[in-house]
Order: sequence, then structure tokens, then C-alpha cells
Amino acid sequence: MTGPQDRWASSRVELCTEDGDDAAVIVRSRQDPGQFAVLFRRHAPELQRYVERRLGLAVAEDVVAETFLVAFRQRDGYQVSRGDARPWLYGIATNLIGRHRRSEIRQYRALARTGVDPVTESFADRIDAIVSASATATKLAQALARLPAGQRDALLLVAWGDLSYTEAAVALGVPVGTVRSRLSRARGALRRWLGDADPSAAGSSDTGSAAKGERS
Amino acid sequence: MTEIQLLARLRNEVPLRQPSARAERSLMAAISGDSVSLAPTSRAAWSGLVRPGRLAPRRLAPRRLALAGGLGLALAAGLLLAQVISSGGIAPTPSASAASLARRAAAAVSRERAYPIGQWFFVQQDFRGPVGSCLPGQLSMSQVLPIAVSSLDPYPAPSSSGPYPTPSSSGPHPSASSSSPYPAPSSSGSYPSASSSGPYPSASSSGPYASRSEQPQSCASATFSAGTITFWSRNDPALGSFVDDFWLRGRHQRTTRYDWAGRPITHADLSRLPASPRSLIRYLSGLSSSAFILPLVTGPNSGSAIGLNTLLRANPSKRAFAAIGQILDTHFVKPALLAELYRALGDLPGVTVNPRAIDIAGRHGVAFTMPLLGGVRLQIVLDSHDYQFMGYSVEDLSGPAAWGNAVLRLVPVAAPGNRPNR
Repeated sequence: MTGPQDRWASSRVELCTEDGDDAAVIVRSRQDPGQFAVLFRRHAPELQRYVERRLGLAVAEDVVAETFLVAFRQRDGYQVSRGDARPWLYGIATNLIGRHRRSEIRQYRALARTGVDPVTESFADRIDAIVSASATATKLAQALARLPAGQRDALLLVAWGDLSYTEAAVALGVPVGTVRSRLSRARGALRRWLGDADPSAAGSSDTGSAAKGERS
Repeated sequence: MTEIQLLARLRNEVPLRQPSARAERSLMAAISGDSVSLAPTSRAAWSGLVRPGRLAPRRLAPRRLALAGGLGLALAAGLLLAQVISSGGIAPTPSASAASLARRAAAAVSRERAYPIGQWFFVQQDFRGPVGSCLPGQLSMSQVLPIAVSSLDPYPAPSSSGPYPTPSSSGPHPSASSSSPYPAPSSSGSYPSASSSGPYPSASSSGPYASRSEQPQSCASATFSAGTITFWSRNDPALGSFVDDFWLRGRHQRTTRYDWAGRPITHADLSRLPASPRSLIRYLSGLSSSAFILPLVTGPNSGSAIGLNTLLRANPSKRAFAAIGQILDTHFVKPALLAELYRALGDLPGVTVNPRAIDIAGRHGVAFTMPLLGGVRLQIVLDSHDYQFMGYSVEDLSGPAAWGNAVLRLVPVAAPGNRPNR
């Protein structure tokens, strides 16, 4: 390896030249189903990370598998004007995550309570810097557990799925204005939690305001 | 830092990697079922309609397998060797695409700045390797790792604070519970041949490695250990590699366990490597083979007999490929040498290009690949834009396993312990 530059920036480089964009792949897959595997190779790792962050590894594997199965079955309905299939895939995944809401929230609560992140626990010994051990992480987790589902989905599609607001709107099937307002409420709630020195003390008051947020 | 960034940090603790082979398999099953029976289903609600059909007997795309490696493995074993069972064959000529990739890559990287001598670097790597009963005779990674280390390391093990990331208790390295991460060779009694002649028993040995055929399916349930490791290393010409002198978990580690060509290859050695691709290849393929290991996990269908148990005469071209992969994986390589190594890859017989490679971290890149046997291949993955080295890995296209290593960050910092600004 050479260049002392930070290599992380190029981590998302994709080589799409030969296969075309996602829409082209999906269109071809309608005649030649095997083409759909290209989509899997392109997006599965990041999708897996998004789902794993929300649900933990065990459930994530099933959800990712099912996401691609659903997508494959629905490929005829894909709007080919959308070159990037991520909003579609993340939308499906987010929907499936919704079936596991209780276990998702349980994980956030566990992190908030113990400071040990159940999602990364198995790797933790190998990870040098464990952000989740920080007070910030436990506060974030506490806030995530309390957010209304619609706000949490919008927030996490952006923060963990790396979608833009517009893409998150496509994923959730709501107007972009709705995503904006959910995001702004969610971020406000997070800021209040983070700003608070003692999250447990803040529990009662903040819970109330967060819970008043919209629900999807 | 905004809330979104804080959240992203939390997300980034989860390694980016390929989903389990199961996920891809179920998609492939649906795909092949579909191509027979047609009828992409309705767009009915998502719920319920998707049940994977029975597993298809054939695969439409090769399954991607994880590989091995990481600092842990680099430390452990100094990664890999491409030992090939079938000696013999007539070496194929290098492919045109490999030569052209080599040319482009060499031209691109030779313009880079060299690492300053003495400079500290913040290094972050992703690694992935198999754990569980997946090797011949159900030998698991937990057993392989200590073997590799004990047999390769001619130096005393460091004090109790080893450079390994501490494995979890349920993790792959049972030896971690002892104070030394490296069992002394004499203590590896359960590996009969580890302390005998050479690191690995020959194929004809009656040791545990030889019984592979008894466990043809033993990989089916293998899982992978994967993770990210962060450490600091200094570009010191007197040292063997960037895993020889580094900071991990707040402690300065200085180890020399990187036995290669009879001793560690230092950065100074690298600077004296022959300058032309041909002499470089001659030199690399002539290196001692004892330090290369390929504790490769083969899949049930690979039909490959490659494994730890088989250390046969390597094809010089494949051996040179492995040597280059290993150098890139573990050393600070100055741009001029990197360019030469790329050119050498382009000249090596048998090298092909995989334009859609995925490294251990799940990133896309372009790779030089060297097929071994039975769907197993080595990959040196480069960034498809600037041709920087991204990672080195072993893949098994037919089975569930392999190993690898990917460089996530390599950033100069003022002192060990300093983190670069995000």
C-alpha cells in the first residue's frame, strides 16, 4: 500500500460501467432473472450493515435474504426511471424490520442500560475503539428506543442507510416534506437527550415530548 | 458533530461485509425457480408471499466467499501461501487484461508520494476468517491459528500482552484465555506435527490434516469471524512489516514474528528488491515457502485438496503472486516499488482480472486474481479509481469460506494513539 491518504473515502466506489445502473439491471432481470444477482452483489453488504445495526446479526441475515426475495418478486413493478435501487431495497428492508420492532427496541434499551452494544458485542473484543462504551452511545440508544417508529425509520434511513431525504421519502412511500418533519423532530429529540448530562433523569420529561411525535 | 454523525459512528462499528451465503443462496433459489416456472409474482403486499423455493441444484452466480486475514492473521501467520497441489502444468501466459491493468495501476501509483521514514500511521483493517469445524479432519481455525503462529515464529513470544486482538471467550482462539497468545510449540501437543518437520504435515502424514476426505461436508456449518481492528504503526526501515512495531490497545508492541525467507523481510529489504518485474518475479518465487501458509477452507463442492495438510511444491508464479499479496498486505511499500509489484503481477503467468471484485470490507474494486485449484483463488484488490491497494484475500467460489484482509484507513498521524480527523 502506498499513498498516505485516507482510503475510506473511496470505499463506496462502484464499478457499474459494464452492468449499467440498477434500473438497467432490473430491466434485464425481467427477461433474464439471473441478472438480479448483480443487484445483490452491489447492495447486499451495505444493506446488511443497515439491518444488522438495527436488529443484530441473527435477525439481519433473515431480513436481508427476505428483502432480496421480495425485491426479486416485485421487480416488474420497479420504476425504471429510478436509476439507483437503494431507496427501493431499503424501503423493503425497513418494512420488514418493522416486524421486529420489539426486538429492535430491546437492543437499544440494552445498550442504554448496560453500555454494552448487543449488536457489536461479538466483535467487541476485536474492536479497538468501542464507541458504544461511551456515554453518548447509551444516550443515543435511549433516544432511539423512545422515538416513534416513523421518526426512527426516517432518521435511520438517513443516518444508517446513507439515504438522502428524497431517497428516504421514496423508501418510506411518503412525501419528502414528511421525511423532513420527522427528521427534524427526531433530531430535536436526540439533541435534547444528548445535551442532558443524566439521561435517566431526563427520561420522564423527554419521553413525553418524543412520544407525542407522529407515528407512521 | 451532529446527531447524524454520532449515529453514523455507531453504525460504523458494524463491519461492512457480505451477508451470509444463505441469503444469496435463497435468492439464487428463487431466481432459478423463477427462470423455470416463469411468473414473477404479483406486487402483492410484501408479507408472506416470499418463501424461497427449494434450493436450486445449480447456481447462477458463484457464491462469494469470505476470506481470511486481518491483522490477527497477518500477525499470526504472515498470511498466505499459494501452495498448489497440482504442480506440473504448463503455465498459462499472462492475460492481456492483467497486463493492461498492471500498466494503468503502475502508472497511477508511481505518482504518489512516498511514506516518510519514521512516520506513524493510524491503520484500520477489516479482516475475515473462518471459524468452526471447517478444515480437514474438522480442524478449526481455533486450532489453525496457534499452529501457524507457533510453527512460524522462531522468536520468543512477547510478554503477556500480545498483539492479538483479544478473542471473545466464545471466539475462535481458545488459546486466548491463557496469558500468552502464542502457545509455545511444545505446548501444541494436540497438533502432532506442528513441532516436527516443518510447519505442516505432508499430505501423506497421518495427522489430523490428512483426514480431509472424512469430512467432506464439514464446511457447511462454518461461520466467520470478522471485524475491524485499529492500530498504529511506524514506517521504520529496520522493521519487518507494519505488524512488527505497533500500538494496540494503548500498548506499544514490538514483535518480530514475521518469518519469511528465513527471517523477517524488513522495509529496507523491500527497498533493495530487484527493479524489473522479471527479476522481481524470480526473486519472489524463490523465497522460502515455509512462511507461506494457506490454511484454506475448501467448500464441499470445490473438490480441492488444498489445505493446511498439503504443502506441496508451489508453482513459482502462484508463489510470487502470494508473496506480492503478502507484502502489500503487511508492509509500507513505497510508490516506486508498488508500481514494480503491479507490473510484476501483470507479467505473472496465470493472472487474470476480476473487474467486479469485492474486498473483505465489502467494497468494490478491481482485482488481480490467481486461480489455484477447484474454484479457489487469490485476489489482490485495488481501488478501481486510483489503483491503491485495498486488500488481499483468498476466495473459494464453490464453498463457504476463505480469508482476507482489507485496509480501511492508513493515515499518517503525529504519534501513536492519535486518531485522524474524520
